[in-house]
Amino acid sequence: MKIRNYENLNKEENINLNKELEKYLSQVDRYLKYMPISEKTDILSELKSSFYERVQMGQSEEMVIAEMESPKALAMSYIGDSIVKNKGFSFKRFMSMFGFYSAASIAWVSIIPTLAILTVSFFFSSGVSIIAGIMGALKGIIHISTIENLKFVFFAYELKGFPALIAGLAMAIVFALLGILCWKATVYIIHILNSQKWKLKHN
Amino acid sequence: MVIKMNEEWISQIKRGTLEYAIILILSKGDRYGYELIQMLEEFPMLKTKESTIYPLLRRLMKKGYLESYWKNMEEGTPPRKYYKITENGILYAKELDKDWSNLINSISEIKRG
Repeated sequence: MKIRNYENLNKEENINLNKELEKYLSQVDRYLKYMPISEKTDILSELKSSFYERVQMGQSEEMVIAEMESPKALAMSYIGDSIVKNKGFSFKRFMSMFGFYSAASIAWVSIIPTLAILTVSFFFSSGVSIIAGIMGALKGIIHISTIENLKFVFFAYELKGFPALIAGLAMAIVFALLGILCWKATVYIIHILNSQKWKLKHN
Repeated sequence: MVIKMNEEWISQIKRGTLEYAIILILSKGDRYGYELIQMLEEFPMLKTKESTIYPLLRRLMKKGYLESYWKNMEEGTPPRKYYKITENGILYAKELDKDWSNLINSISEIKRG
């Protein structure tokens, strides 16, 4: 007898709570879908029993739901534990981690660090461009031995003096803009991942 | 400002003490989930909900300090999950007792100092 979801569990036991509570529990069920089935049914049965007690104690169904967190938050407090505690690898547990981070697919999860690194790189390049521009500008004016040996090469032309400064600043601005672009993209993608619209698809 | 700081401190203390409280209660006898919630209800510092206590109980079970069993209830009532402390759980309780006294004594000493 395979118990696949919360609805089947109810048919087995033939006990139903109020419709709103049943709906709440099936929503929790959905967020637990990557958990081992026996663990999931255990969790849901315990919650059901708890809700039943609350109603017996005189709480209304609305009160119970109001006192609980969102179905997702409730599911997450269980999942957070199961990731840490379960040893060994299994596809279901691996997928539950993605459930935890609300990732739509593996590709999204690798894009964020890439963009973050690009952001830093661009800002770094921007800083370096400014320094290069200044040093190139100084080369024509001040004679310091270290700077004498360096060259600011811009597309195969060595620049000195004022043009060096201009080129440096221009490149700095371009890099800075690219950095800002990458940063905004990083934030945007994180925002997408956190939004409710993206769900893991069954394969 | 003062009230806010207290809440944060309290919630940190709560996290650690809740485990101790649960182990103490269960070392005196088996209880089911909601029963624990009800018992802790009367202590403002230990008040808790399903989302906190049930994952905590699962953790303690996985560590081997607790066992659980389901009890079928009468017609129309969902089965109840009872928790029972294990041998290891009792040993753990003794350790926690020591740690707790240690903590209390440290604070008392600091106050006196």
